[in-house]
This record gives sequence, C-alpha cells and structure tokens, in this order.
Amino acid sequence: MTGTSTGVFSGLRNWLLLPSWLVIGVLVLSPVFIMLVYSFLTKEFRGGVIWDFTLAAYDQFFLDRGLFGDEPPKMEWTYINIFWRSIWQALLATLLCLLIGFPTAYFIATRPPSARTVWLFMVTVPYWVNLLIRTVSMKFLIRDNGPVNEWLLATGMISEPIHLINTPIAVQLGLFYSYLPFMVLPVYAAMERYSFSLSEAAADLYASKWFTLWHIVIPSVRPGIIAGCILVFIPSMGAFLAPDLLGGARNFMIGSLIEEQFKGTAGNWPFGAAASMILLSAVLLVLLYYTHYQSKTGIAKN
Amino acid sequence: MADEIAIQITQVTKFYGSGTDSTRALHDISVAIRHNEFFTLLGPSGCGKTTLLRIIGGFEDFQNGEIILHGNSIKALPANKRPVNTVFQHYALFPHMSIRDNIGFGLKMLGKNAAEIRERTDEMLDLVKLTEYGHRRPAQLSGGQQQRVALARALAPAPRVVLLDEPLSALDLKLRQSMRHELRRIRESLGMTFIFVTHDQEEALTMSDRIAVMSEGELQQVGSPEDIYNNPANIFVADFIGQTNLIPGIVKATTADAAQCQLAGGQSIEVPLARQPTPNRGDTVKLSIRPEHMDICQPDSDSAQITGVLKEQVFLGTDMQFLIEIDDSILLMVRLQSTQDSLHRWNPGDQVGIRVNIGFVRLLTS
Repeated sequence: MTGTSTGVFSGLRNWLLLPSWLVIGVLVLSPVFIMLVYSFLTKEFRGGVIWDFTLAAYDQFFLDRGLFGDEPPKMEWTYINIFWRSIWQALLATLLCLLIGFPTAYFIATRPPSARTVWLFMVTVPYWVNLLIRTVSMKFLIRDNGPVNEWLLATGMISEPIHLINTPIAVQLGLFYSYLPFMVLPVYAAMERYSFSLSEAAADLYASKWFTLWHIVIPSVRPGIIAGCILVFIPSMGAFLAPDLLGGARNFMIGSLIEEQFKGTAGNWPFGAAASMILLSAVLLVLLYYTHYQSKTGIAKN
Repeated sequence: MADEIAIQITQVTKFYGSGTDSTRALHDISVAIRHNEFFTLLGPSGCGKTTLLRIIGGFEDFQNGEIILHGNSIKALPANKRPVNTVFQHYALFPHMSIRDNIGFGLKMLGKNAAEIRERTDEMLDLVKLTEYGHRRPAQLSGGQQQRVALARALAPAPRVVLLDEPLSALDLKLRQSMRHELRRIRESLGMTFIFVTHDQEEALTMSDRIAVMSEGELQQVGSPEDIYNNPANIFVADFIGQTNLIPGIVKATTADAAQCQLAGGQSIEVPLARQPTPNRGDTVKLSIRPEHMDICQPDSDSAQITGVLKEQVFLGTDMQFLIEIDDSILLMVRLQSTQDSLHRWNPGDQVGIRVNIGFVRLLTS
C-alpha cells in the first residue's frame, strides 16, 4: 500500500497491525453493528428484544400515531426537539470552549517552555476526578444556596439567589466545564508549532494586533481549532450526565434519552438503538464535512 | 544629504531579567547610522547584535537610551508604527498567502489602494527576479527564492530603513555569494539605509559601507571594512576579523614615530606609529601581524627582522601557509601566494628569516 516499508518488517506488518484491527473490530465496529441490528427489532417489555424485523423504533422517533397507534401519522416533535436541543447545547458548549480555550492555549504557548508544562498540568488536574463527581460538584456550586449564590448575596451584587439548577444554563455550564481541555489541548498543540516570528513580521508590516490574530494566527492554527471543536462537539452531543444532573426533566438531551431506554426494565432497547443510530449519523455527517473540508484546504496548500 | 543621519542610537542599555538574575544584553551603545548606508552589525553569537536590531525594529524594549529615526524618537512607537521593515532570519513568510499577497501585505496595512499595491508588487517581483512566481505559496519556493520574497516584502512599503537579520545564513555557499551582490545591487538601485546583522566577517567585509564590531553587548569598533581590517582598535577586533598573529611583547623605547618592541623570546622589532596611538614605555602589548603582511627570506639577509624555524607548510590553493616557530611557545603564521617562486625553497626544519611589512603591525594593549 505505501510501498515504502521494505526489509525485515514488511512480512511482519500485517501481524503487527492485528491488535489494532482486533480492537477496532471487536470493541468499536461490532457494538455499532449490534446497535444497528437492534434498532430494527421489536421491543421486549422487560427490556431486551424480540427477533422480529420492524421499523417501529424509527417510526416512534419521527411520527406520532396516537396513544393506541391507530391514528393517522403526524410529525412527532418530542424527540426531534430533544435532538435539536442537543445540537444547540453542543454548539454553544463548543463556542464557549473556543472562546475560553483559545486565549488559554495562546497564553500557555507564549510562556517560557518550562512554565508551559506547569500550565498544561494545571489544565488537566480537574480531570483526575471522575466526570460524575465533577458534575455533582458543579450542582453543589451553583444551587440556590450554594457557594456561588452565597458569595453573590454576601457581596450585595444580587438580592435573591440566581436560580440555575434545572435550567439550560446549568446544562451548558456542565458541558462547557466537562469538555474545555479537549479544546485547550489541540489548540495548544497547533499554537506550539506556530512560529511567533510570523506575528512579528505582521507587526513589522504595520498590521494591528487584531488583524494579526484574525489573518495570521488563526489561519495558521485552524487545524487545531477544528480538531478541538470536534472533540468538544461530539461528546457534548451525546452527554447525559450534565443534562441529567444539572438540567432535570425539562432539559433532556439525546444522550439522556438513550440512557433511559437501556436503564432498568422500563426501557425500550430498539428505540434507544435507533436514537443512537440517528445520533451517530449526525456525528458522522459532521466528521465527513470536516475531512472533506480538510482535504480541500490541504490541496490548496500544496 | 549624504551625511544625513538615518538612525541615531544613544547610550542604549538593555538587561534581560531583573534584580540579581539580570544579564546584560547591551551596554551603553551609541552609534549613528547614515542615510543610504549599508551598515553591518558584526559579532559572534550572543554579542547583542540581533538584540540591537530587534530594538530598532520595535520587538524588544530596553532600559536606557534613545533611538532617533530621521529626527524623531521612535522609542515609544510599537513595531507596527515604525517606518522600518525587517527581513527575518528564517524569512517568516505567511504560509497561507501567495507570494503576491506576502509582498503586498505591508502596503495593504498602510491602506494603499488595490491598483497601487498591484503596481508596487509587480515592481518588487521584478526587482528580485521572481515575476513568474507571484501566485505560488512560500512552501513551493526554494530557500533562495523565499529569501528574495522576504526581501521584496520588506522593501515594498519603501521604508526609510531596512533591517536584515542574518538573512543569508540559511542559504548554501554559492547562493549566499550571489545574494551578496544581489543585496548590494538592490540597495544601490533603491537608495535605502540597510542595517545588516551577521556573524560572517566575509559577508560583512564584502557588503558593508561601515561595520560595527560587537562583543559581549558592547561596541568594539565602528569603521569602514578597510579600517576595521587594517586598524583594529583592540585585540578582540584584530582576532575576530580575518586571521592574525598576536605576539606578546613589551615596549622598550618610543620615539616620535616608532616604538621599539621586544617580542617574547627576546627578538626585537621596530613598529612605526603613524597610524596608531603611541604606547607607553614598559607597556605589555600584543603585536598584531596579519599572515599576508609577512614574507620569508634567508635568515642572515638584511631584510630579515625576525628569525625562526619553519615547522610546517600547508598548501591552501591560492595561498601557501607556513608555520614558523620564533620561540618555544610562539608560532607565527605566514601566508604567501602560491604563484611565488620562493615557495619550494624552504623545508620544515630550516632556519628562516621573516620580513615584516611593519606599516601594518598594530600594537594592542586591550
């Protein structure tokens, strides 16, 4: 395939790749395939599936046929709304992470090399704690009588606690906080390779700081920004801890919906599988667009 | 107009760091660079030459001193407000822009209209002989071509002063040599002040109108290439520029126009003082004698001022180099042109005489 590997390793190549193929095949592709199959099966009421082919799960996601399933089909908005909420919450989280993560990465990349390690270390420290615990902590921080509200009340900036728990803002805070390092790290990696003499050259040629940022720095680190956006957007789309713990029932996201279908005996496996497939398709579309865009700019560069 | 001062640098001092950790980068630098001059900052790495250039460009701050550009202080101006452009050491071309956009960048930032930018860019592409390459990206050009783009980009806004930070150091030897002529030609055709930083003395000697030799953050000497080479102000300059023999000696006697010096090992030589300051009697000095300012003769001939034993001869192509021991520890290097007949008259181990072109000998005390 590559034509470049010759010598002793050429025969070994396929064998050396075997572990990777096994991991991808067994742990990635087969679960997805199982999900795909399950999404076309009939639900078993105690959880599980009956091996009867049906489109009922997808039908249920998009169409409303009344309580007994005998009315003429109408558009079912419940799940599309949940899906839509997931998309904009994820987009907003990505945007917030970019707004905070980009300056952070820029700051770290402009420190002396020894200090950079310390700053990067500090970015990763919160991630030594389990996501569930961090999300619960967030709940304690922002609840009506939590430290944030207490402090704001004490300083007299507000006269009544700000109600955040069970609002979309709380979900947003949770998502943003969960995935911020996924933005900081790839942007930093790109920024570290960026040659700051380009910024000096721009200043030398009379460019203002903002012009340099928009037209020299950002185009140079764009691959890192895109990678960061993808790394934040995709897990945010499927997140269920933040919406569950911080958002309550009115701020359901697609991840919580799927989780619910597989939890306990009340669930509906085919429906959860179908929702997963729909989520997966949306994510794949985003990735396809990205690779297409990348290869296009790649060609323009060379 | 010819003697108009382009940049007046007065007592510039810079420290890196603060308190007891601070290191001195520049100490009390004062120099006036003339309009239309090709001025070179020359010195070994770490001597502060690049720091001084970056201070002029506005990329570094400094603690004391003043910089006046054509009568106006630029000390408080940020880099993007100074009418000075830089050719960076590694070119720093914008990789995502075409060659044309790179060259036109400064003009665009100055708010010139599109027609003017196009015209000036064409002119610059012509000047650096890259007319065909305007639509390529920097990565598609060779090192030498990128170097010329960097130059065109710095020249396009017609700055009063162009700063060049070791622009030739990344090129191979042949390219470097042709770029030297190219740089001189371009500067002469445009009539701008060039401030050029290099650690390569050959580059400095061949290109510059004047050279400032720097070492350890201080100016050692400022002068024309001939002046620097023939009348080095101190031991550092004599040793750094070209090759020289530095022989320890003591001044035994002085007259109005000559000094009698005793070399280590006991031999004596009389050095004229026409082009150098008169030393004091009893001073310990270093006699700087360049290898090409000596000739070899019979040890007993009248013209032999020093005698020694020939240790080694090396063929260098155009030249032949001889190492002659005049004392247990002192080897003199003498260089003669290979075309001379006398070359093969001597063999290692022979006692030889050395005739010194004493007008070029310098007595250096520091």
